[in-house]
Amino acid sequence: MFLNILTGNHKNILGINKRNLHFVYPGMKRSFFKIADEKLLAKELFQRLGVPTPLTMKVFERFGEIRNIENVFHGMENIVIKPNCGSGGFGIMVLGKQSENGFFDVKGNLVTFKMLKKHLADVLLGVYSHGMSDKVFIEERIIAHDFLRNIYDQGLADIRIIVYKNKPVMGMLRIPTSFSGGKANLHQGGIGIGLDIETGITTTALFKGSAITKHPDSGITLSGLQIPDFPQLLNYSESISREVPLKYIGFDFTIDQKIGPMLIEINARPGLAIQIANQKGLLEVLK
Amino acid sequence: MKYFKSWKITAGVLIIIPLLIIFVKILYFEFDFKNIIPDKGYALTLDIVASSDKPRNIKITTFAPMNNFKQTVLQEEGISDVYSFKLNGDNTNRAVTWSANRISGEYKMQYNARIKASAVRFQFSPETKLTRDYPESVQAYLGASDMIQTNSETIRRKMEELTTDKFTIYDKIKAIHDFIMNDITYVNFSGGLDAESALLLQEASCNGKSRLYVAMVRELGIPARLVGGVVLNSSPKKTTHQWLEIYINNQWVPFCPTNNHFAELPKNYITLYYDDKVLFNRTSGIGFDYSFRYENVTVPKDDVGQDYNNLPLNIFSFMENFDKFNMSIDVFIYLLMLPLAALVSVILKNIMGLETFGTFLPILIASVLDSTGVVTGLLVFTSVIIIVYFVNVFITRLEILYQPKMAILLSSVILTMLMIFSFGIKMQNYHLVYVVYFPVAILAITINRVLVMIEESSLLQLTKVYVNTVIVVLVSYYFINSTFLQLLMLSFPELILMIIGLNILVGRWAGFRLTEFFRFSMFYKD
Repeated sequence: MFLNILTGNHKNILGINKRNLHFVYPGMKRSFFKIADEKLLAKELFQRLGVPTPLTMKVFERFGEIRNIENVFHGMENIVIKPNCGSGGFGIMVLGKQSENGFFDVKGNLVTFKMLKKHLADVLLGVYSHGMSDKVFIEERIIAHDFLRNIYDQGLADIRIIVYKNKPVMGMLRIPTSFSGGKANLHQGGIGIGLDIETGITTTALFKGSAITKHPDSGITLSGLQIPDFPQLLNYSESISREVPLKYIGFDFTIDQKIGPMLIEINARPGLAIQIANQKGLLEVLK
Repeated sequence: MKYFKSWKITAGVLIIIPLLIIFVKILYFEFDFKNIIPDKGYALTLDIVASSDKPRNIKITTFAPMNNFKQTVLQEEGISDVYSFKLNGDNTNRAVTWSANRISGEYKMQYNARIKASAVRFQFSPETKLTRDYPESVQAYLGASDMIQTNSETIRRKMEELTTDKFTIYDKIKAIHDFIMNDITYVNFSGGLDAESALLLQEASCNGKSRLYVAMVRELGIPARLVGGVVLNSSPKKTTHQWLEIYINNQWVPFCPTNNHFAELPKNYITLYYDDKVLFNRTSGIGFDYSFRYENVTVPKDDVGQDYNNLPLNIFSFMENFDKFNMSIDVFIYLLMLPLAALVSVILKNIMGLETFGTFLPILIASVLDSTGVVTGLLVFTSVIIIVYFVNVFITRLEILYQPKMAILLSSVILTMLMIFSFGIKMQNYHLVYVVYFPVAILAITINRVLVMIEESSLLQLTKVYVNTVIVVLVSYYFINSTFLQLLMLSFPELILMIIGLNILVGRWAGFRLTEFFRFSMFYKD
């Protein structure tokens, strides 16, 4: 066992050192990461290949463009503001109905145009991209599929698919909780649910490091659920991965009520917690 | 697989080359490896508190440790916020003076020294023949004084009784030594006792015993003198100690009749002054207290500097040239230790899995701790995190831009440091005063790193990273300040190549990080 831990083969679990050395770096050029780091670039690619992705309504690149945002935002509602190069969900602002002075956010608090302008300026200045100046864009807000809203109707659930050498190898459904404040990330208190990668049926669920069977807020049983349109979702992953020069990719999907699976972004260094949710080491399937 | 081969060769070559150079140095240039194993020494501190209820001119005089056959003072400093500190004198009897004019209230003073000390044993045997040819300066140590009554009939008779049947100088001194050790009972008198009284009472403390010893030896026509100092065997301590030295064949040889050291002294005897003096002289009528404390430290061997200077293959052989630019060896030690500390932090991150604020920040902070002190340095680091966290909460509400926000955070941190500094002065806690030695550049990097972390993670995550950073700081500090490793790097700077090689090995290591072992522990529970 000790030797296996040293060589990183213990129980087929993929550790961070091995992930970087054997799966992320080999034959890799820095420029390949661009598509994973810049959301706008990725979305262009998705659209070109006919993979549905939330509509980009406006891109801001310069400070001059955020001077009269009242006009820009005129008539918009249910939108999401995202930094182009942000990571970990930071700098994302979800807005609902518009009022006289601004927008109401998901919790019903008023976000004034002044606050919005400040947030846009922060993103442009690079607050969410480690000091490098950035772009910021407005995107339509997805209306989650009933399947997802039945489990928990706050925040946005997503589906992570790991693709290796153009083949989907592992998947996980991530559901927010009241504890995670609408975020689906596991380390922020979301639930990770393992998926049978062939069928898209949920298996074991994990919440705050321990196994659970029911959603702590809604009480819905979390195993044995069929993800709608799962074959389509796998098709999308395969077709994109053939166009991207990365061997090991994480795809983040969500499911729209009308359109079905929509690709949000791709990730060149997807996290390793997916192994815990599936109770299965990635090395078993990364062959 | 093609990468596999080249990294192994690169790392191997980088690790072997320095070993070869070291081998050549030791084999062909006779570098003495023993020299880089450091000696043991002491960090000695004298704390003094003086108080006065009304304004007056106060002067306190004492003695700093001297340089002699068994001890060398490497660094020293005197600290006080109101008293001025002065150090006079050459190698023997170095007077320390603290003085202040028209002062009232209670104030602290501190003297710190790093002392290299060794145990000594002199060649003194029954075969030793005494040459009675004394330089003028030594002849003074044959005379009488109020406390050392060489002219006393009682002392002379006792001395003769002890030594008439002894024929060598060794046996005579041994007879006196054994008498004073065994027949004069040790009593812990607080005051000083003269030689004659010690003999009459048949009991004395260290100073009475030593005076009687000196008087009897002088009576033999051999110069002898009192020595005052402190024995480092408990900390803190107030008790000082007296022993003596006898002038035998052109050198002063130590004896201690209290603890039975005959022509030898253990390492922990620290000499403060020679002759029959009082350790402290002070203005009368003031409140006064003092104590000594010490820590064991490692210090370089004496001739190690010579050794690496003369080594032909060493880049520091040019040290004399650096001297022209008034550069200190500390600069090079600092530079040489950073790669090693970086390797340590890389191992802690990639093998142990400790996430920290930035890769280099922990070792930068560790390199500062030597000048600020460990506790004070970590206090600065901790307060930066707390200040940045709370000020950030406040100024985020003001909705201001990023760069001015950074400037506000820097200003707040510096304001806090100045407050800690003033608090340290006020409370006379001189550790706190060193906060100002924390370099502003490292402070600015810390603020930046901490802010990124605050904006991207939860308080729990922040606390975890903080604890990890402190661990890495302390481990790196230990490596940076290890005297042995410093001397090793100074003697063999080529080891930097080996460090690069080891980094390649760690960089190609695909095993688990220790923290991952716990993270995935639920896999083991079935």
